Amino acid sequence: MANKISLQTADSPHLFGDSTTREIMKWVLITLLPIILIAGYFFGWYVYLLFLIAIITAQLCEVIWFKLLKKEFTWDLSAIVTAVLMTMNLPPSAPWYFPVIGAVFAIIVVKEFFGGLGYNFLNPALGGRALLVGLFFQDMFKISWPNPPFANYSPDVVTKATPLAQMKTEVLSTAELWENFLGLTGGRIGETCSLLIILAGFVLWRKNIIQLHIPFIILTTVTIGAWFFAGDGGFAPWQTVIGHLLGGGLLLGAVFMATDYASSPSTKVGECCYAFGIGCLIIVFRFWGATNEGVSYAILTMNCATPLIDRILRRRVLGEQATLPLGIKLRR
Amino acid sequence: MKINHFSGGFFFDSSTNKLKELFKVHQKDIAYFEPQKVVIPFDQHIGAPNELIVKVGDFVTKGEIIAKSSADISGHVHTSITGQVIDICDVPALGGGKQTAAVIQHIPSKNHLESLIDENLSSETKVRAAGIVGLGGATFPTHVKLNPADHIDVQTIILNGAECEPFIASDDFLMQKESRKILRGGEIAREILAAKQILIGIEEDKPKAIAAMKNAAIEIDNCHVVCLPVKYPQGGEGQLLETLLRAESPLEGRSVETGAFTINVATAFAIAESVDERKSLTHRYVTICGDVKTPQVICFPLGTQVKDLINYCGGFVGTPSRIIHGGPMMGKSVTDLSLPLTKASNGIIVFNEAHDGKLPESPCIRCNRCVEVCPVRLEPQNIDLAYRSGDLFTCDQLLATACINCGCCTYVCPAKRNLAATITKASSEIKAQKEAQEDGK
Ligand code: SF4
Ligand code: SF4
Repeated sequence: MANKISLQTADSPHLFGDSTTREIMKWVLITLLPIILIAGYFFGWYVYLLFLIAIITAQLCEVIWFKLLKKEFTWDLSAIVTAVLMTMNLPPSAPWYFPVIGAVFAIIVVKEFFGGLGYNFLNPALGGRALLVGLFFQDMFKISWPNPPFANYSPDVVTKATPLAQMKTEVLSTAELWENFLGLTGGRIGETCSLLIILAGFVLWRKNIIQLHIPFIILTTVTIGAWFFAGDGGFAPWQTVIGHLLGGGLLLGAVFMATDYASSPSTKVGECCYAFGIGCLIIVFRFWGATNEGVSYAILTMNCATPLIDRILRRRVLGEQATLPLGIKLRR
Repeated sequence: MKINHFSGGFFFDSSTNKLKELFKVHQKDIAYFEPQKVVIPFDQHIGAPNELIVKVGDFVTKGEIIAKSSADISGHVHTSITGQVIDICDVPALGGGKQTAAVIQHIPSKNHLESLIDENLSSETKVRAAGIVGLGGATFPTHVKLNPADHIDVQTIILNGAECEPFIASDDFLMQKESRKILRGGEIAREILAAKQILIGIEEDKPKAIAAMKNAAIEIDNCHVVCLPVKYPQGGEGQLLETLLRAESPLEGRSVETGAFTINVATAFAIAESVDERKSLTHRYVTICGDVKTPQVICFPLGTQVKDLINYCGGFVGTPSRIIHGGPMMGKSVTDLSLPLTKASNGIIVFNEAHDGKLPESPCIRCNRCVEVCPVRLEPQNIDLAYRSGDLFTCDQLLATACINCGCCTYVCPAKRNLAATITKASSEIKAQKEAQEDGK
């Protein structure tokens, strides 16, 4: 019997877990879906078109790139995640070519030039947005206010101060804070509805796709920073602190952008340093920067520091002498 | 007693748990297999190679030494059946190579009693004479382990009953059946090392074994059974130490330096048999399971070939595509069914095509799951990347050599990267490089 069968040599282990890259990306998209839907409800059908354009462009770019390099294409949904996140960072009034330019840049330059999935040291979605800000500064900072349900076809551009700018001069009322929380406020496509972003973060955490320490540290740092710097010499009113947490895409950045796998450090200690760095930079950008915002630039800046953090820190290996607290080891 | 969790590790996913249910061995009592022919490799331990002391045509009785070495770090090999040496030849070894073995044909005979170890020896010498090595898979000679450096003060004897590899139930059955002797083995070790307490760590999913061991432990003072969570790799020596004593065995040293002496329950059983009954190590328990007709735990004479055991279990179900020696997480694949089982064998698992779950590798998405689960706290993804780009220096900086090859990283990787395999390769290449450097000096 025995000798006819062909047995393969294989390395251990011989069992594999259930999770796959596509499964992870699928869950990110599922949690993003309600945010996309509500954006259309707030700002008008037009934003759905923006998402569609971005997704198609990103996916096309990836397919063409793989064709050109004669690599085998894997349908892992990661380009779609990038496209959706990039679009969420656009103003609702963005013209159709914004998502096209953003997606091409995000996929080809930020992601594939650096070796593709997992090798990009910058967050592609934020990279795409950063380029757009550079090219179309004026248009990128045009803010629309929601006009539900399903507004007009295209969003109105309103020159009204965003809550973040408003807070510079006045204290927000509780009603305004509630509106901020539910998303009934001016901002970019995907950043306004704090409630849905928090829910999405919760689901991703339960699904073990993100861990909470990065968002937690960023939010804590910003809370303390806002409390200290928003008032004169400390002790800002609580409304302002909450306003800082809810406004300016902070939650979207903390939950979806800062936790991006490829552009965050390899170890937990590294990630904590990285998150703390993001929090501090947000404070710097918000209080001393040219615009009132800066979540995306804070994240991009710390993305650049990620390789450095990884080069310096590693974990204490089991049985090794401890030298620094928290089980950190400096690499030789 | 408070249970700590060891760092890293993971709980199996639902697909594995389903398979675990499917592959479960249902049997009342242990089966004994008596083959007509055994193929006994000379070297079944880590350490100096053995020399053969029988020749073709010799008549040997069960328990008689057929190969040994005078070096201290070595383990004698005995014949496991009574019969005649009919051949000395090369046979397949695990991992694809060849090894030399004596082929012994069974000759039924009433006059030949089992050959026993000399009664007057000390316990330690009996353990050596019986050829006992670490039966958890390490195969390090036990008498050497029982004789640690003078400055080491051993306080605790740990019996490792945390059989953490899924599907394998050999130790589980042994604990149910031979709980007294296992504890007796622990007591002997305690006497030799002048230790104080005995701890037995068993994973929670073996209630029968826990009950049996608890029952037997009542009669012995300062001896406790500790139930452990079913977390992989609980049965790793370092992980067991971390869980039971919060101790970490030093990176470049032996675990016994922490004051705890850890042995597998099967080893403890063998110690008891050698000291009390003067029996050499000739048999052990093995789990044959997976896609075979009647999966079961079998007590077999060392040197039994895989094909004989599979026939004994009624043959394959479907077409086998992968056969594993040992557990599915750390075991090596078997490519030749005439492979003889040795002291290191505790399981043979057969996967047919339906259960062989390997997917193609895709790029690492740097999700850090491998980092989270690595029980020795390495950064598998970075070592893997460095190794694949030929950067052994970085692999060494990231301490690839500390890898215990547990396979956790590969299991959890969503990109299905073969991390454990590349890290093992990196580790052995670094070790070889260092040895070459030392020789050069
Ligand atoms: S688990 Fe796999 S995909 Fe995730 S970081 Fe490790 S190697 Fe990369
Ligand atoms: S195989 Fe090695 S690197 Fe991977 S988890 Fe186990 S110890 Fe860590």
